Amino acid sequence: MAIEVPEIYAERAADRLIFGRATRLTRRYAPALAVFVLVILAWEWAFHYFQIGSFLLRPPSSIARKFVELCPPASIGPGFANAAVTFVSGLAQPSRWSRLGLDVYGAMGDCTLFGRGLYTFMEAIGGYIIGCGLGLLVGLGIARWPAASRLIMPYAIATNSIPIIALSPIMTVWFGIEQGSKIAIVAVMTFFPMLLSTIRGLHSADRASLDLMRSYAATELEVFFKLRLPTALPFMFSALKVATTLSMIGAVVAEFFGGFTKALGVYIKSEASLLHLDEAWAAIIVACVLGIAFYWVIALIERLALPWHVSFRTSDE
Amino acid sequence: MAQPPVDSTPIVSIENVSKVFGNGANSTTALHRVNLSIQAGEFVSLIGPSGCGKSTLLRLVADLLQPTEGTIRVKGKTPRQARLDRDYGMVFQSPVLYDWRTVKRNVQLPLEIMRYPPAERERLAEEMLALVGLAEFRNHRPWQLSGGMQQRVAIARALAFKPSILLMDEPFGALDELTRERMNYELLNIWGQTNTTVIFVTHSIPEAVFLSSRVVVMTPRPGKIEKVIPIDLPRPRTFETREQTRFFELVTEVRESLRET
Repeated sequence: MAIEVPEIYAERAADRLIFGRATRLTRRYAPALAVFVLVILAWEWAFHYFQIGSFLLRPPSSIARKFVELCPPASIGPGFANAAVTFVSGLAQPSRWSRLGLDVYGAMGDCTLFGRGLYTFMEAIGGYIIGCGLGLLVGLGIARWPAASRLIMPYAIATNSIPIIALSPIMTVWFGIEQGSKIAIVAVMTFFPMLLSTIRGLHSADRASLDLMRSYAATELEVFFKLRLPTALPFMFSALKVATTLSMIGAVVAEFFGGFTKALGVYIKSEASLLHLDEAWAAIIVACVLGIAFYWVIALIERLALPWHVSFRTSDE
Repeated sequence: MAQPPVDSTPIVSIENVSKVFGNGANSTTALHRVNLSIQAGEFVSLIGPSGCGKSTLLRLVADLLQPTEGTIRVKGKTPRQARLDRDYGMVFQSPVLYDWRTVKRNVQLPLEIMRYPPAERERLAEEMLALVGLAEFRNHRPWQLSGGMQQRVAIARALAFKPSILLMDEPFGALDELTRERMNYELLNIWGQTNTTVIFVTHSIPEAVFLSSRVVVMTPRPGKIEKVIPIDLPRPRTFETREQTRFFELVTEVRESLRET
């Protein structure tokens, strides 16, 4: 029997046959890439055409030159390799923890821009692990003992509604001017999204699924591992993804309130106040790159961990 | 196929069971003084309008709810003991398959919980998938199957550990009429091969008549049993069964006893 295929589907099927994966990816991201290039070109053109004061806005070409100066391309590869080795070996030696940030900064060599970036990124990751880890643990506890929820949740919600960055000066007094206070800020910022999502996720198994487990006389642990946890994972991952960007924002902004001179946030603030806008923009690019990379890593882990999830289903499945 | 053998001691006995939800002025009597005995190997349907307590009665037997008064005995035990002894296979209106498991691993779920050895889990899952005709879909994910196929997986899962009683709560309610009739036919085949006792909740009169050895007609406010109608249609029942005069007479009888409410 002949089945009439709508043209658009036929076209897509043909795409799959003719073009490879690379071409499909290009087709998918080409529009966004084109917009990016156009905006950069327009920015460059407007800067020269309207003769905007160089203390207000810098053209992309000038920012790019500064970026290369502060991070010579040849130094990027060896720098990251070196930094990774330094970080891992430093982690193994608790006596070096207090100066690990400085060591990683130094390990990047000539690429000081990413040296600063990694210094700040370490704060973001440290706070992320502590904040999300505690959010997960407390969430597990509250989901298991709902009485604890009445005890803790009002405070959790109240604390979540204060601007946490306002605590930054206090954190500096408590945990020192260097990485500790920033880690604390990030930990507080990421704690609540993770806590709330964990609780919601663990409570989102539907009644029929729970009845089914009950009819099997499953133990509480079996219900947890075979039903509640898999149901909760998509919720947890969405919090983990939100927390990546929060952690980068928290670390950079906390550094605006003071920190080590090599830190990215401190650098952005001081260069901008000297009207060294090329330097400030180059540093902002580094913050973006690291933030996006962090998000992608977590998103990739999610894809590998939850291949069954509805958001990853493709139309040919 | 002959009528299933009728044992004199009932496998399920429900005596003077009432269920009240809530208390004081806000309370609702879902069931009032219900009595029913079900023999081993029977296929009993509970039918009635919404609010007649048919699902509540099923959930009481399944030990998912506790009766307010009266006693229920399942194989001489309390429903709780029967549940702990894994006497129940349950099928709900939605298939309740776990998306993170393949079709086969969904069928194996109860077997894992009941600590069957891996080789046995494998064998039983294959046997059940063959029984419901889904062997070649063993490695598919639930969402890749149609609604009717998903419900067949749910039935395979419910039967995998050979429970003595199959409790089905409107299992085909979400399916279209044609799929539903085919599923009815397949369910009878499966039932014939396993000789499980089935308690089946539905609001479809032809479905109840086609499947059952007895149809229990229930009425609402408060929920109680209006009438129990034995279905004397010969087995095996086929698609032609639905065209017999006797089938229509029985459908009419059920419909009229529902209308009296």
